[in-house]
Amino acid sequence: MMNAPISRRSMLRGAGAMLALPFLEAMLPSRLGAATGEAKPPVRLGIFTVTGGTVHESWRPKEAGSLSKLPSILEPLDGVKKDMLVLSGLSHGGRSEGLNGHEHCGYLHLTGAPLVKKDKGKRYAGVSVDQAVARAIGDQTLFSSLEFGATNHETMYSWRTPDTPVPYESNPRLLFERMFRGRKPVVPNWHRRHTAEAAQVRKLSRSDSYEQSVVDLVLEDARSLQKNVGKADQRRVDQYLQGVRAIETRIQFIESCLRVEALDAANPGPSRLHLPEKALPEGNEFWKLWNAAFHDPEKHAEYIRIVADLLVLAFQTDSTRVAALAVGSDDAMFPGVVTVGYERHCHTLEHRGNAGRVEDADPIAREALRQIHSWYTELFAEMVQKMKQIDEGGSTLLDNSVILYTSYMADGGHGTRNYPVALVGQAGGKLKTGKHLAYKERTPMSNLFVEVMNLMGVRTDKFGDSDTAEQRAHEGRLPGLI
Amino acid sequence: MRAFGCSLILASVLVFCVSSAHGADAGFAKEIQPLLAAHCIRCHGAEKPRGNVNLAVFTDDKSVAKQPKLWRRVLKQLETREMPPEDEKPQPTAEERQRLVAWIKQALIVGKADPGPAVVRRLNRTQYERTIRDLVGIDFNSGDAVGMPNDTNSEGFDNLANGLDVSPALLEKYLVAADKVLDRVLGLPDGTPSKENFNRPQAKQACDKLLYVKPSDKLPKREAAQQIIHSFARRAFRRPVSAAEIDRLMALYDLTEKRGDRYENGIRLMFKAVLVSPRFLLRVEQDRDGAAESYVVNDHELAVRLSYFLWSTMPDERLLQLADDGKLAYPDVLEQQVRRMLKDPKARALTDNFGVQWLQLRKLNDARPSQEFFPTFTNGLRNAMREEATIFFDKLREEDKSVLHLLDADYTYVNEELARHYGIADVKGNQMRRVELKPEHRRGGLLGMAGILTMTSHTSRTSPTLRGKWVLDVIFGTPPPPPPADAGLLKEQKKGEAPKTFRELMAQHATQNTCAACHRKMDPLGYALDRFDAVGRWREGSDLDTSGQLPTGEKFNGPRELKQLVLQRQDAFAQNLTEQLLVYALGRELQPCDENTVRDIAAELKKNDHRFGTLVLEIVKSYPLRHRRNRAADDLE
Repeated sequence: MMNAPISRRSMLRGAGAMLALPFLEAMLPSRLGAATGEAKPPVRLGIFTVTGGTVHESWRPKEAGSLSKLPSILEPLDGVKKDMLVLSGLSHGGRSEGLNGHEHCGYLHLTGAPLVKKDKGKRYAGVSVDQAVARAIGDQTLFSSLEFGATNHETMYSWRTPDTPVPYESNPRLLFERMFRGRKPVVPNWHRRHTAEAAQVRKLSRSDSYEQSVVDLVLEDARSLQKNVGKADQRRVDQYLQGVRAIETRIQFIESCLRVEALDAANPGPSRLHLPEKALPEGNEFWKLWNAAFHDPEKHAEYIRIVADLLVLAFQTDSTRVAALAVGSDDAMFPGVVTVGYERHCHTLEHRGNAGRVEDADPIAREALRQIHSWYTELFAEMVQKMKQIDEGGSTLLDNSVILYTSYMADGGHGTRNYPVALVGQAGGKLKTGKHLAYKERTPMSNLFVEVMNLMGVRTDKFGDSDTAEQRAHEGRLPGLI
Repeated sequence: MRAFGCSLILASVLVFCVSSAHGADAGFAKEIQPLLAAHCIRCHGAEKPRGNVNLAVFTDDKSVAKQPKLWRRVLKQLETREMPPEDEKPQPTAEERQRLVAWIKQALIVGKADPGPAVVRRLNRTQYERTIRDLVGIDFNSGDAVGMPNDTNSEGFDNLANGLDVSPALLEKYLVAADKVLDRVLGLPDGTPSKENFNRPQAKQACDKLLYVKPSDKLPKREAAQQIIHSFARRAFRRPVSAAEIDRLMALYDLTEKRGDRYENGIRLMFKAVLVSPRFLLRVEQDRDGAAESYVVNDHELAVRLSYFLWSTMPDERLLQLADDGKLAYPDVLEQQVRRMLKDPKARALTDNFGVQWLQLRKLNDARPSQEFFPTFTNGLRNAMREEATIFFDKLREEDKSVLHLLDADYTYVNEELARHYGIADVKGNQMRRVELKPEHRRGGLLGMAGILTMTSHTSRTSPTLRGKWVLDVIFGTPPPPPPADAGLLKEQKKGEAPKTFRELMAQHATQNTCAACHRKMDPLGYALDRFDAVGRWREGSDLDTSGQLPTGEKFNGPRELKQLVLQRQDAFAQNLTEQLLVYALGRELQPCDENTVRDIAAELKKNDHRFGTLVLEIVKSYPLRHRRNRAADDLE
């Protein structure tokens, strides 16, 4: 039963029919409004983060300035050198309480929080950059953001609030269904979306769907409960009421988006729809792939290609403009990718390949790690190339995106200094790409997040510890980037 | 003492109010304050309190009763002589110690029997999945299918009411999950079967059962629909449903009819509304108008409490029927039902949810033994390790054995791979089975189980600290506080430095004042287990130092003597297990008012050979499980 994703029942079942609204699994943005029309394709923020840091001497270009020959880990990106910025010296300075090394790095990764901790089982970090952007611009799309790929309870990257980590969806089939359940993937026609006709269909109106009638009923249910529970704990019931009301608004928003897409379907944008090349694993097939992936790099690569394809599809269809994709696992085995020594277990290699000083580390393990990271970059480069092929009407999807390629640790020894950071894409023409920008060591990674926020149209001058870190610099910005 | 415990239980069943037995307030300043000041406050005062325990803020008995968790810890440490530390001078005299102990016990007892605060419990993910399965009748992992977030609470159980929030995102998941379940059972709204992969015969059977009447010449469609939704809603809401409730649901049916939709879609829409209703997703017990005192929960509320405690799912027809008939609360009926439920395969939920969380077995998934040092450690072995502990616990439940077997037993469960790991001969095949243990196997009880030993180890070495912490935390319920923020980790060896043994490095770390108090409690327990390597294999060698001494003075060497020590403290273990299971059963943290309950149940448990069934039964019969009260203004969330 492996259906190609497109062959699933995908048309709306029509007004009056049993309407299962498609997107009711999305994370709700803080507010919802009708999407505004834009003549130009929007800018998308992608985060492609791998595990295990990197091997610095094989990652960092020797010279600052124009990119020429790339170091071996970055070599697979040679074809998009002109669309890329390599940033070095960026570091996290946040302290940790009650966390192990992986948690410390995982919580800091996209938050740049000054302090991350676990207290009585509850976790704290800060709002992550993807969620901060999603909160600001997420009301434009069906999904304010998507978070997916391989994470575990230690590697929590995305945080909606300082104590609410966002779960990552690991199952590509579920992610696809979340995006396209009852909705047909359509290539937006960006020129058409700012016409008066589009503006007309975009207006929100009360839904007459069955979904709405269910919502009406349970709202009534909750209200009567609220009365009946008297003085008893009302908090849960209140939460329930709020949740249902949010869904009510969402139903209207979804319907407005679907009307806009129905217009586009008749007259879509210029590029072909980028559907995943491999069929999405269904049911138990997923678990088979998932379990195999961490022992067999071929399966691992298959998984990464599938989720990377879904990121491209999500951006192309404007399902969201913010996506965080986590890739790799410290716990994975890499036979065939690693061809030196005999250890193939990534976590063991990470510890052995790192020490207080590079000279003290095991050189064979370090070479093995270099092989692993170069393998990750190859897969990342494949995704980037696909984005470069997608024409959005005079510019490519890559032109209209900024993809942060990085890792939650700076190196395999739970390091937080000198993270591997590359920005790929033009962010709608705002980035001065083709360069290696070498910052002073320990320049806050949070400065990058300030820049990313601004690139995405969210004006801000601070993020995380950009203004409080001991090593704060450049007034929280990264000179030379734009 | 026994008679006293017994009569108390009787009293608590029959009488709602037990008169107050304390009045020591006046004595506090004279009798107690000086003792605290002399022996405790220097470290546990307002200034940088050690372990974040500040005893200076307590000024009378009442303030003590408000912090029962803290004072229970103080009580235990006084009784086991862990505190004050032996090198603190002057030490309290035996009489002084006794006086403190007696006072704390008394202060913790509240006068009036109190079932604790009223809470509204959302079904957690596990309960939701199981309830859907039983309500609809298909094996369907609804949580996985829609990517429902786990209600993981890394410390404590995932069924505690105050951790179970309702977010918009979660409500959306419920809506989608409802669609997916109904797709499978009723087919797609356009009348075609779902294309997904699932057990179709089972779904067909479930469908026939749910749509148990069919419209015919004699039975108009609307009436059939009404009968169907009535039966479904009663089971989903776990109580009788009112005519008004049915009318509201039927309005949905009427809408579909008005739009000329299929009959099945009318049923479907009503089912969907039930599956996302707060009356299904939340366990709400309604306040009794104007009740100032506690009252006995009604039979349907009792059935729900019982079934979510023992089965993590909705009551079955038998329980609902007994509740409908008003017979469930009869003592003999209740006991009969508890015994029946414990034998039912659904009671495996107690193991999967309570047992696994209490023993922290989920941590085993995170163990990453290095391939180089432990090449025999495979995923298969990891699974067998987990199975060993879970089956062991599950058999206690099923066969109603003594919970002390968890501390020491002459049997365990292994398959071929695990048997080889343990050096047990003649076990063939992947199937887990019971084996009798001989002394030379050096196993028996939790402390010899490889899973527990592995999950409390690091990648390439054992961790006496983690193992000691596990014993304190899980076995005795006295976890040490988390390390202070400035505690260092062990420094890796520097070049040119004379090599130190691990124990020397640890000792160095543990002499730092901030660290010593806790490490002295944890590490000796862990060193005794150092005969087991980081994946729980027995290791020989004369260079291993497995001797230890606790702050309380006991000396021991190796796992066997540690086990003796733990067995000597079996009362503390039994009380801890009682507390844990009571927390799980009530779905809330314990309160001062639960102090008596715990003590009585533990006493009854001891009297009945520590049988697991007794523990469960006594919890079911206990005051807080049978009673509730309206929410009081000063109840904490």
